[in-house]
Amino acid sequence: MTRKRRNLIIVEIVLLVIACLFVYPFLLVVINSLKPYAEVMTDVIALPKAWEFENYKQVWQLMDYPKLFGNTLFVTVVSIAGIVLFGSMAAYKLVRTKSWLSTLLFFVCIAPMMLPFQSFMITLIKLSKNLHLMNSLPGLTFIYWGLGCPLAVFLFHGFIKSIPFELEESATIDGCSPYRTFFSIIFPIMKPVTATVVILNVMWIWNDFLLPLIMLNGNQATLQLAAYQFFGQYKSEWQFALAAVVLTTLPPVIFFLIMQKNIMKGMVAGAVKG
Amino acid sequence: MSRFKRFGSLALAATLTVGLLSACGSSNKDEAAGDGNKDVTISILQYAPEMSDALHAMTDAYTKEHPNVKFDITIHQDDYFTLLKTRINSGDVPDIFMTGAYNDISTYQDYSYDMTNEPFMKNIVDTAKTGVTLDGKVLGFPLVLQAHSFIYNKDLFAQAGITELPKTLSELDAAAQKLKDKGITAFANGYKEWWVLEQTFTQTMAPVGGDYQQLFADINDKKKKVSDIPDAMNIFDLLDITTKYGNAKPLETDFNTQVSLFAQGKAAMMHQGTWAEDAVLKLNPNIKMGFLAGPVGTDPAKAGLMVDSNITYRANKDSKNLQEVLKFFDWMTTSEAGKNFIPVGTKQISTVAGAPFPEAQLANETNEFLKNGVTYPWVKGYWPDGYEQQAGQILQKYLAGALDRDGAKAELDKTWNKLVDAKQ
Amino acid sequence: MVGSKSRKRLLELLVFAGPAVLLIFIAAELPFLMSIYYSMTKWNGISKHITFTGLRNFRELFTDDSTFFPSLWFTFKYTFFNVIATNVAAILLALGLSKALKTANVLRAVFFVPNIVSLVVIGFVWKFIFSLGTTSLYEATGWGFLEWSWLGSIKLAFSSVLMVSVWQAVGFYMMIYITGLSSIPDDINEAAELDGARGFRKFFAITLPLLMPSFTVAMFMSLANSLKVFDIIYTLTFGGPGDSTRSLSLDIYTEAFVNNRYGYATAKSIVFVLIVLIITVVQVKFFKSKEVEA
Repeated sequence: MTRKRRNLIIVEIVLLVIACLFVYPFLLVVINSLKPYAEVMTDVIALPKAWEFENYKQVWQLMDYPKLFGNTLFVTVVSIAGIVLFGSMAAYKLVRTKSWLSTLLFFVCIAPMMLPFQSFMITLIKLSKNLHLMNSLPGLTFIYWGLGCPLAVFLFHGFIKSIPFELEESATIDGCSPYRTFFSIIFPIMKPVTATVVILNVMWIWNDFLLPLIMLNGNQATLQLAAYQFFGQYKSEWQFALAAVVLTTLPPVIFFLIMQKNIMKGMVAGAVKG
Repeated sequence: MSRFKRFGSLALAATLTVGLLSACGSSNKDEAAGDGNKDVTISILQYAPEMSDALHAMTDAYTKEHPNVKFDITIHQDDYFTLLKTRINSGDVPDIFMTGAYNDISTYQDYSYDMTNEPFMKNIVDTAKTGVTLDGKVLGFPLVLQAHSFIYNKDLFAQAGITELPKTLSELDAAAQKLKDKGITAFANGYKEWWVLEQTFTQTMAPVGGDYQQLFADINDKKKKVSDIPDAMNIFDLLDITTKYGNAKPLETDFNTQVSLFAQGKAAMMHQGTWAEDAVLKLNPNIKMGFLAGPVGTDPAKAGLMVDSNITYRANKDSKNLQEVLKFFDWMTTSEAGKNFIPVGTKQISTVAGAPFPEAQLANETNEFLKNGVTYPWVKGYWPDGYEQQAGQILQKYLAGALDRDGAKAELDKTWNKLVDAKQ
Repeated sequence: MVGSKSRKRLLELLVFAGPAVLLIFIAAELPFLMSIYYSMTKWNGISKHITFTGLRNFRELFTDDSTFFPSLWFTFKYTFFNVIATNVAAILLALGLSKALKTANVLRAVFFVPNIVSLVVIGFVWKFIFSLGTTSLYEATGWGFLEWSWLGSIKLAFSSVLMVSVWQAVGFYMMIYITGLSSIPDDINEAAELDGARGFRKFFAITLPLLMPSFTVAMFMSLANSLKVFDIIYTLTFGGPGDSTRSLSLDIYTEAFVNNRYGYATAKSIVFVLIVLIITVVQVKFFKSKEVEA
């Protein structure tokens, strides 16, 4: 047993060292976001000479942070709600129905995972214009539903296959409609994979840049778009750019740290079931 | 407004129209009171974020004079043209959008209002109009005169005892050697940026002189090749000198790093333009700098400065606010605030006749060159779409050792032909 | 009776799957099908004049294109190393972190965090580190490798891009494997250990086969993501130096938005989609056949 303990400690130390290397880039970002421009350019690894939040104050105002935070949150939350709902429903029936049609539909659902976004970007814009989705946050959300569903269907599909059929059978015998069966029996079981889908999509939608850029016609309506202003070509304002990076990245990180326990719980549940 | 045409002198016209316009302004107010003027919002889409503050100041001034006109300004940098293209394709073309001159003038011609006969064109200096004219039609409003070449640190040159500025490649080599002997890195090379290489390349290409239009038409017709331009092929010698006496990791050095090396006095020269002044001064307010007539070969008479107007405003010809846009352009060339936008706001040289001169070292140097020196247009304007970046990347490959000179020449030729064939 | 039952099942299928199918079709597949038309045109993406050219774009692509095949080669090379490096690193981390470590939770979060940050920002941050950070670190430590031109030399740029990709993505795949590991029943582990299986032998004989479902998902996703790699290269190197790190999706982007050859770029993207499709289908088939029911 002592040998095992020693091994554990070694593993832990190794992982801690790797972890330090992992976060060092972020540490540099945070440190430098607190320095004035000249200090950033002359010595990157030094700590700031004075702890000032001037950069943050400026960026907060320049970005119109509270408003854009609200916008970004709206897009992220509504998009993900739709993706989870539509994706899980589709995946469920596609698994449980064995026919050529369901195979075809499944393929239709996951095929876009292979399409590079750049290949249909311009036509997507033309189409969005015709459907009056341009320049509006709900319109953007609608497109996110469509673009986000493939991965969601794929992940839910994989998970549902492992749910034993007997559960639903007994429910159907008890007279549950297929819709109630889904929402009151299947959906709760899928918590771990739902958590995964949510996390993946938060990462994607909160951080997405190109789609909002072109859908919102360049209006500075989301945090990513506003932050990108500071990364210009002839403009050298690292200190603002870094502060903007911190401000836009912090919300999803906090979200993840809160959600992490849920994922763990979900995974434990999954393990018990297995 | 057609009254402008009678005045011969631009300066006179300019001063007088200020009076005219302010009269207009007050009558506008009256009209607004009598609900004659409807509210409009002019949308502007542009790059050049360095202009941001000055632009907002100018448009605010305009709104003050014309309370019915508001502006919706979007400034984007790296993905600008992607954004512009998607907006055009979605049918949502902004009222005013920014493009380069020359080739861009042709690329976006379907959407540009022909300003040839607009009165405000008379207030713009003729040198700035070449690049915005396509088949005799003026399709863009040139905004700013910019210059690029090697920028040098005057104190470091003095320290190294360089009294005569180098004008040939061998003199440049000798000067760099002198700097090196003093322990000074001669060049800060920002070769991570393809555009730095492309700008250096145009500088060796421009001194070929003669009729550029004809020359590039011949290249397009495959009667000649890019690699047949002897001066242009000196680019390789020039690049070799800059890397021999240059900073470490040139291909990793981006604009910011390049500027900071130069500003901190860690390097004596860098190939950059008037737009870099602000960034340099932010790091070192006391630096004294100037433009070198860019050495391109063995002939000192050919060394010159690249001066051109390559940032233009285009008026969307189908815009429902077209008349308001034209009024605004007119105001930009006649009012105090409009004329101050570029020189005072962005510290660069305005294209408007009679506009004040910016208080900036590089702008002053540019002015000296325009008066007494050799200047060239930015010949890249004759290049096919995409060649700027491709040429820059081919030169990166040469610097990285992936291509030798012959290989690079062959690629420069091949890429040209391909892009010309693809042209619409 | 049978007819109405099957009609009811069809209706259920449509109610459940219909919205997703419709949304996906509108947002991705319809635009893609529309763009197939442009692949047979000469169009700069801007002009109002579009010339139909038939299959000429495709002919040019296969006979006279100097960037497509180098980019394809780069993409394959990148995909190969990235998939292996990411998955190996992720499995190792997952094995370590599924042990009873005191700091397991904190460590999981740390490894996952790069995943939460947008790729645009990641590219920006690493550019910052490679251009300014390494120089300062070198001055402070004197370690030679910090002075190498990580993004500026053709050989190193590939490794740098790869390193940043792995750093960014590994946390996510680690989570997938942790999920997989935690679903392996304890009794199997115990039984294996009672039988004297330990270390590598236990890993290859017991753990890995039971990890196959996670492995399939992780492989599929890392493969699809690697083949489509865009953002990280776009911000980190923009394909440079020269075009040594130009991936296929970046090549398509350059063709469309830098060279203004939208029609041609679409032709490229269609060939690209076919390539990705074939690879993923083969891969999924291969791994599905190896899955073991737990």
